[in-house]
Amino acid sequence: MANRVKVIIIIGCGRMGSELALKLCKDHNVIVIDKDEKSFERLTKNNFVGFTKILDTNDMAALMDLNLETADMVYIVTPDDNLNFMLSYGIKKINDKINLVSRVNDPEKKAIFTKANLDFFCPIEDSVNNLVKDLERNQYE
Amino acid sequence: MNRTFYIIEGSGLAYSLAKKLLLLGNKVFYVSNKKSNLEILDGLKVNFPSLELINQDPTDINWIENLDLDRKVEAMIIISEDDAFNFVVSWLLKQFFEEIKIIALVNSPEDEIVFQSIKVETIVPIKWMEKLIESSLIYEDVTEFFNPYVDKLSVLEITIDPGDKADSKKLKEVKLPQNAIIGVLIRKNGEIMVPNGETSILLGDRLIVLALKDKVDEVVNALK
Repeated sequence: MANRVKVIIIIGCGRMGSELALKLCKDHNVIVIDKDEKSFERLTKNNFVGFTKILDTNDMAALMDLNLETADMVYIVTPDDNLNFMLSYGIKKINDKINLVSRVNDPEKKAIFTKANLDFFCPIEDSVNNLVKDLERNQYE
Repeated sequence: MNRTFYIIEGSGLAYSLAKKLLLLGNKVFYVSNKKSNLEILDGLKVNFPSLELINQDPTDINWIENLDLDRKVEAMIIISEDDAFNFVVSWLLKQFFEEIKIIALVNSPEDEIVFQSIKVETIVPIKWMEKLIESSLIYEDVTEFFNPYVDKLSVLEITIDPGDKADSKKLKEVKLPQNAIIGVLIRKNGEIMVPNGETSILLGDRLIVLALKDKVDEVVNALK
């Protein structure tokens, strides 16, 4: 069960989106969406096996047509927190059953996602927590 | 008319809108965290010292939660060029102030659907422009633009030119189809009237015709 091939959609192909895509594409079917064709260079340079799709990530109507419900997981990882919020909210509104998680860049914006009951992760906060944890661990060793 | 408006973000549009609202004697708060925008609006303070400029990130949930909206706020108008930003602010305001009117600028029409899902009023300039252009291409005038029932009802403005069938006829002599009526007649000199069957249609008159959409061709055919 753990090894089942999943369908993963990644919206936003910046540094994080492309890294995530490259890692996941080894075991899963990955579709990466970005508004800028150039951003896919990050993938093609690194032996990406999967699909890419150019789509204006600011175009809610087009995103709604994407059959997102066929995906096991949707990652929304653009660098714009407001956009990530609007996309997550809009997608959830269309189909609440879609599994999705959003990147929140500014830790102060977490509260908005919490209030809207949207799943998110905050890379900056995670990094800070890890750094602090490492430091404390070293102190006691 | 002393009402209170909040304008959130926007540059040139915010300036014009604030000016207009202030001229009408309203109280205006302008909120932005962009220094350049605040500077633009600051130019209004000379003539309108009551204008309040608030340097603040409007997507800050703590600020919105603690916003003191005791006085009668007529509307919160969110007009940045970034739809996602406008959406976040609209949504947040809606969470805390459900009863206040929220009007959001939607820059790309494709995004309107998500704004409608949270029941805020939307302004979609591109859609207006499309309608204006479309109606000036298809019909004689742009009255369609002001018609909220545009899907089913057409409001036509037809000018009577030399040789038109309706020229020099009485209204009752014109064979309009069912579900169509000449509502208003405007003479060349600007005189405006609601015509009756005895009213004569003259050269240069403009007729405002209400008709169901599928009757438009017949209407034009009967008059022109």
